[in-house]
Amino acid sequence: MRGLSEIQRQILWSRLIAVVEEQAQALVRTAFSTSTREAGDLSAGVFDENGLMIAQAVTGTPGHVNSMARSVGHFLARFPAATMRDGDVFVTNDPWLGTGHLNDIVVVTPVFRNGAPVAFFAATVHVVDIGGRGTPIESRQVFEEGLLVPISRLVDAGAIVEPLLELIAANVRDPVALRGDLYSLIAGNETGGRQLLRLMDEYGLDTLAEVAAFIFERSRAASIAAIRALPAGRWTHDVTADGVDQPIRLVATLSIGEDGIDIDFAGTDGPSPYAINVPFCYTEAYASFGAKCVVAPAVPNNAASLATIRVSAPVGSILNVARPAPVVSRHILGQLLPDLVIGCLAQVPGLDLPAESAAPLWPVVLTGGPGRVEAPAATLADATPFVVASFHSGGTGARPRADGLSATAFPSGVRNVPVEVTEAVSPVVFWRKEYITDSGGPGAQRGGLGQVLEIASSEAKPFAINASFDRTAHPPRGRAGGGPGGAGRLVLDDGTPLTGKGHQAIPAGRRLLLEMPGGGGHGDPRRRDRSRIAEDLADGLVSAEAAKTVYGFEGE
Amino acid sequence: MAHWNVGIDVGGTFTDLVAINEHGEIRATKTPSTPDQSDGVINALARLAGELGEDLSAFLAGLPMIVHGTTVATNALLEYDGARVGLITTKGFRDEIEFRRSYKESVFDPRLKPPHPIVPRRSRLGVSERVDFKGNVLTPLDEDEVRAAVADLKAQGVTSVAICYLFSFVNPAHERRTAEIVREMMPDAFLSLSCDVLPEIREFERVSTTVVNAFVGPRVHAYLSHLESRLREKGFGGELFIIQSNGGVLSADEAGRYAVNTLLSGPAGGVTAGSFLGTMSGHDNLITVDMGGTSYDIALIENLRPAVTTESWIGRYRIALPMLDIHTIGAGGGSIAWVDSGGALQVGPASAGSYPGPACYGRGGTRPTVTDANVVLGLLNPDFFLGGEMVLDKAKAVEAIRREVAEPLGLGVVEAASAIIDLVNNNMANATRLVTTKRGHDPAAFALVAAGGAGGIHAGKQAEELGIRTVIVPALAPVFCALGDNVADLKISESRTSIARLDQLDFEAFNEVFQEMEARARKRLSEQSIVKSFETRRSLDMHYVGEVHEVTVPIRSRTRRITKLNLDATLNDFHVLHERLFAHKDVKQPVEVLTLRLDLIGIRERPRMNAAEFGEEDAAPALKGHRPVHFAVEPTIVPVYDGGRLKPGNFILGPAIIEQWGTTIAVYPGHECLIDAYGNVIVEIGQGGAAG
Repeated sequence: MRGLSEIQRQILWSRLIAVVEEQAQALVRTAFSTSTREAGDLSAGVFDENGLMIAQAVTGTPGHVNSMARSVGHFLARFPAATMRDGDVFVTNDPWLGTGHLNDIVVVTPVFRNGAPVAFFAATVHVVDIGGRGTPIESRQVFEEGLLVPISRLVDAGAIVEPLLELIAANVRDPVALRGDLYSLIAGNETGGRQLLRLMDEYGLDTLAEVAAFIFERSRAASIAAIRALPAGRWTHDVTADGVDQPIRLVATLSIGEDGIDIDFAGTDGPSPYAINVPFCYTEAYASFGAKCVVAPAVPNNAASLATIRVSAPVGSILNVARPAPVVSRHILGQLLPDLVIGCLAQVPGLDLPAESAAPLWPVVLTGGPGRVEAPAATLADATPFVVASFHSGGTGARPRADGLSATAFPSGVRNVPVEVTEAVSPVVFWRKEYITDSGGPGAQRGGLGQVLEIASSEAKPFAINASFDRTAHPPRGRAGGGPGGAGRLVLDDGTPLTGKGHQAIPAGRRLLLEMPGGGGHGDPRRRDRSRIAEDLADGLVSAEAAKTVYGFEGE
Repeated sequence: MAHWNVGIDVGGTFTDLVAINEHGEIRATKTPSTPDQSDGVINALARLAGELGEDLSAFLAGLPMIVHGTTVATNALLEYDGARVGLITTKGFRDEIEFRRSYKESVFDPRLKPPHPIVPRRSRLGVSERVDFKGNVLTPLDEDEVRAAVADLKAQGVTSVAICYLFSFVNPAHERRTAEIVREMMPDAFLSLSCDVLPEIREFERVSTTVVNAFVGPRVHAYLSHLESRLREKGFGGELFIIQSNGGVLSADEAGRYAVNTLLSGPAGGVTAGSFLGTMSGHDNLITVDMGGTSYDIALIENLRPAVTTESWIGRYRIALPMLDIHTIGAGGGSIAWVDSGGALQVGPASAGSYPGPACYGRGGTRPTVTDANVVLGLLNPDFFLGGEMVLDKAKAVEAIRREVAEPLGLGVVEAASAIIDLVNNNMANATRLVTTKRGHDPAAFALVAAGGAGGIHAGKQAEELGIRTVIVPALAPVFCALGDNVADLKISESRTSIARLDQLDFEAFNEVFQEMEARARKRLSEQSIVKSFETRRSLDMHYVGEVHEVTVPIRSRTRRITKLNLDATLNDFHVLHERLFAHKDVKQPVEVLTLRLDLIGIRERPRMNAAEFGEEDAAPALKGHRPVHFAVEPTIVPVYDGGRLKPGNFILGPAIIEQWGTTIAVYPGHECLIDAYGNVIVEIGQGGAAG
């Protein structure tokens, strides 16, 4: 093979990124699950013959960034490339080898050229149901959370392995959707493979080795240059989450060195008996995302750029939990990790970074009808059965030079379902969905505001919420003198408090209030521009009381 | 005296005009755009009148109509320079416009700033009222609260009022009553009701669209009255029409009422012209691309109908109305080439714009651009830019590329220029491929229509990279949008959400909704004198029960009433379309209708286009010389043709260059081209001319 020019290599790189974007697009288009389609809860990437990720599509969820990058290595350990045949496809949803819980399914497809695999395509989507209890917190072992498919051959030289598919379908509540998602993953990888071969034809390539080496060298150089622009040193930070039965303390130590960044979670608490534990792959994904989005956001994700940020957590800690711990709600702690890492980086001289965000999403999962609410059977006899879910969020932390985003998620990028759609498919009525005054952490730059949802049954029947909410006792903290955002809260309209985690009933005739946390503030609130305080006051984002006592505002 | 039809498109740099008369004679002009867009419009008309040897007022007096594409709405929204808006909404829901369903433009940017509020919270007032999804009133409208809210807005100096209540698409009574109160108390206010602007489910989409309408409406209205009165002063006695985002035109009066529909008024003309060109050239499936100074617009036309989307964001606001699906990337003649910190060459998205513009413009720009690279490679003739109206400085182009690209990368100037062109071609091809595959198509099945001043140079390479076999460079490529203004029909798009399972449909009620929509649309079109005939297109947004996204399926009935038979056929089409778009279908799964759509097309007389007889194949009479062009590092001496002298039937084998007014066409090695009966340049791509 003749050598490629520098520009040709660079064009090949951007073509490879376009190929995985197309793979991801095929997946978004064909997937059944709402979260894939509406929220971009998926990932797609291409890997070299050694299982190293060369390019990844930019999609909605940082949780898949690094975890999926690692997964192809696990597949190759189980099925060495030499044992693969053209037309094979492999699958797993092992939380420890994939992306952290059973609902995420990873599919890997080898691409053959001249009789040997030259690349692999991998893709992940989140499926709504994978069997098991279907509750967010209560499981005590992973076995209760649904079906675990070990790394297996899903398609054997072009023929679907029907017994495996039947086994999976028999263990889930919506087998049609699950089959659909599996076919969609297979088709997405196939699209990627076809485009890759076309590209290799066009450039007369037999292997991707040369272009992969170029991508790795460039990415590593750019990442290292960005890291070396920062002073070397070591910084520690911690954050406390509500947990379930007791608070959970997470500790990170971040070191910046000549050849990369190391993040270690020594000092972090041990595992929880409830399903908020985190497999290491997911810890690595969110921790490295937290560093990368600050230090080198422009460098594309691949094995080399990700390798410059190394993550470790003590074996057996809640961030590196051992089997068979329950892990289905691993996102609660996982989504706190970017803020924890940013908390370390904020101590680096010269880096001015946002305050803490509400971080973990607030998935509003409501259920009703017989058998789905803890209430006397008689009162539920004629209640309409339903399950609805929508992902909501509190506010983000204030930026060093701008206010935070209100009621918008960070680090997740999930969109929520309109009230009108939810009401059209279930017997609920939303009476309020608006900002909570004073919930944005005070600061020279104000944190994004949290929101309150006020929800009732339209049939005046009892209904239930599957709560998996955090930051109720430990609100997002401010930075550089900024104050904390408002804490999250669950309460009934008569003042009865509920807890942040677990399945809970709302009695007939009562309304449920969900108050989501606000983001932390940045800088001393007394130094906030007076005209902006006046505006916040006029807009009811800040109360007169807070303007006076917290911001020291006496009028313009 | 000849009767002219005139289309005028105002772009960022130039105001383009195309005029066609009843004999099929065509005139085109380009004049600089002006801060007050009406100046550019008048200048263009004056120039045309001058070229025709007529006095402007005499010419205007004989003009039956002007169709105009304007960026007034777009600029107002992008520059946040709109009306002082107030919003009256359901109590407890005044922040929807800012919640944006938690959408972020950049998922991974922890420094992303909040959007600029086009209606600040103090002007968003909730009132007690609530309707459920069936239209039942849960809480009656509290008129005292409405009055208090209006008084508050009035005191704040609000001049434009948006009204959006939950489920108003099922039961608009509360919005209508509120509007009456607003009219009573603020008779001069601009009003925007969600039940009129977008009577569809999904509150964020509806409120955002309604508020944007209130924000840009007064600006658009003022501009159109200003333009119209200036035209009248100069003697114009005909009618002024505006092209809308859905590709149809409407009288200025009607357009001003729903100004949010004019956000794509500019680029819509080009896509419409693409369909027209498809009809002329016998291509039903086309990708139109428009490459100007700063951006590259891509749109798909299937079966001569431009693809439409309801998923648009403009700036940071969501517009859920049906608009032509035009995808824009930052790649144009002015796109700047630069070497990033990792030592990699990048092109765009930053642009040198038209001022100072590319280095070769000699207006003080020092950054190398795509145009500079084209000059260095010989693809562009420095002495024939805009038909020779502007002379480019090749030495400045060489110098900029040498200093900022060649030296940092250790390349020769020609190699560097060719790298810049390869990269920008690759960026454009990647985007085009994604736009096409997103709709479930392979670009190879389409013809590529290349418009805009810079389109003709790059189209051949685009086609190679996309596997496309035919490129069409229209005779009016540099003023393509203005051509579209001349050929677009009138069009009103109506929609109404009315949720029902298909197997439980009440045909009576269903037909009634369609009839109401049609009556409303006909009423709006009834005043439009230029309509020759009407066409009604009905479609349904449908999905499998439980799905969160819909497919818009045309109903194939030509009669007024829709029957079970029509719907069975529509259901069948739904399954097929669902499979094409999403790769699966399930005929056993119940299907639900969400939104009913109706397009009323007012068909106007097509301008006459004269097809010429094919003459000689030999293009030699149009040959104006030879020059070296770098299709590779080593230059090739290629023939250069004067596009103005090429005749229908002329055949040219690549490599060659065609220079014509406002654009240059590169015929690459292995490509061949034919001048068609209308003067369009049809390039056929040889097989195997690929990268590598």
